[in-house]
Amino acid sequence: MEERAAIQVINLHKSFGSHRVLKGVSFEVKKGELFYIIGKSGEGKSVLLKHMVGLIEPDKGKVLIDGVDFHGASGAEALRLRRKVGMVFQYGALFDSMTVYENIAFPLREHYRMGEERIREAVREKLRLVDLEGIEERFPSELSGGMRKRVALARALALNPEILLYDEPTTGLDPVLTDEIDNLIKETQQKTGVTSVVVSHDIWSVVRHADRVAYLANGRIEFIGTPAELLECDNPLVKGFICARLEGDVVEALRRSCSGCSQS
Amino acid sequence: MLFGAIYDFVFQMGEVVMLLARVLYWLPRPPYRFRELFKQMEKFGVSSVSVVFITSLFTGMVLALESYTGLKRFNAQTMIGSLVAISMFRELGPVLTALVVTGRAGSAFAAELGTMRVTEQIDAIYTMAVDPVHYLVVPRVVTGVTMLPILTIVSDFLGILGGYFVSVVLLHVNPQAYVRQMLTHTDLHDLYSGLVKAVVFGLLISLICCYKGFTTKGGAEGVGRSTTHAVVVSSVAVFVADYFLTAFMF
Repeated sequence: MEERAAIQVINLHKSFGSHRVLKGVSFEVKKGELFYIIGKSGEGKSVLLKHMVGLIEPDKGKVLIDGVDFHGASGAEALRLRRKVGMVFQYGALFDSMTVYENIAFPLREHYRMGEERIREAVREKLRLVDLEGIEERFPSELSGGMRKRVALARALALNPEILLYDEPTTGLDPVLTDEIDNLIKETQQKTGVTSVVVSHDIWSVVRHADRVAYLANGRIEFIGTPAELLECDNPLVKGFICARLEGDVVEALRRSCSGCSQS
Repeated sequence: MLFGAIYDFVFQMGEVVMLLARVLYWLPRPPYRFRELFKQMEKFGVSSVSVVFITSLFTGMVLALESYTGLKRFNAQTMIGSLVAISMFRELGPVLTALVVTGRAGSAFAAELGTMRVTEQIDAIYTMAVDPVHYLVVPRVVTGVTMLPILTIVSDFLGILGGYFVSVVLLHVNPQAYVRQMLTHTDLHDLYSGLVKAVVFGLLISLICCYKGFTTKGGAEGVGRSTTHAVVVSSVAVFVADYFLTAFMF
């Protein structure tokens, strides 16, 4: 029997004013997989992601988390669903009035009656998960961009979510840091088994790490499949996206770094 | 143009009322975040008290000075005390305090929440399954409603003190007569009506400023814009509400 999908997006429509951003988006994300959503800037990737955590209400269509309609739920049910889904924001969205420790402790304090000792232990454990230690008493403004993203991830992990959404985690980072964050996302998925959905426009991240990938353009999913299939895809929109800024031999290099491709 | 402005105003007031409904919904519900509440109260009081101190003292002084000129013509200088006290209790204490608080604490509400909005911190609270109105707006509104009357009492007292200083020390009005007149002509109703005003102003200011912060759009520029709007709209709301409250209560 096929396992139920962690996330099902069904025929999602959304307009802002007269601008139609999503025109019927449907796809599924399987439990435990690392799923990328790629596309050009301004194509509504972040809007799509924010539907999955309930920050935006769809005009039409549904988002099912574990088979339960996210936007139809209310009260305790909605709260339970929101706890299942964590989100890492593009710029971290850390509370700048609080220390790193208070930031990660925030969701714990809100949802559990825990003693200070247990909170301290939990915070330390989450920080260890993202390879950070001994920065509990610092403020977010004192951290580098990469560290801030790690703390944001640690905070999102604090409630042990089943699903983690990443909004453009590597946009605006230098190549070394991009690699670091990409690896961190992969490691987190492997260590915790969390279903991960990443919005990105970095084709290298996708071919290296993604289990599956969806290409969003003109408000629709133009392609969905493995990275290997993406590189072989004949859709002109997808091809245009992959090959922009790349010479032919670099596309070859992409194929080589992608484990699923035939290396002829 | 004017029509559009009126439409905007009515629309926003409607949204402020909706925010009030959400605050009232969450108010009795746990968890009660006393730490957050006390933090807000402390910030609110500390940021405003020194300005309230100075404005009220000088207002009381100038009131005494102005009324001295007029009352002297009727040889009724001893009435200055009751005039200053009644003006402070019923009108100037609550209104001046409300305006000072709008400038200090209200603008801080709008700027802080506005920054949290544009940096997605409010969204982050939501995704951690915490209601942002419950966490951010409820403590601030409770702070406004409780702290403004307290600051108003401080203001009343200092105004009267300023009036006494100018009348008795500078203008040599008989102190016994001054105090006796003041006590016979003012009653507790004067004080209470002013405090009722202060409660309403506190509610208006904190709600409007939180609303403006919550609905901020467009980065740093947007934060500046919504902070300015918050102060302007709150001040106007205080004056309008002041008239109607006075009309209903007296």
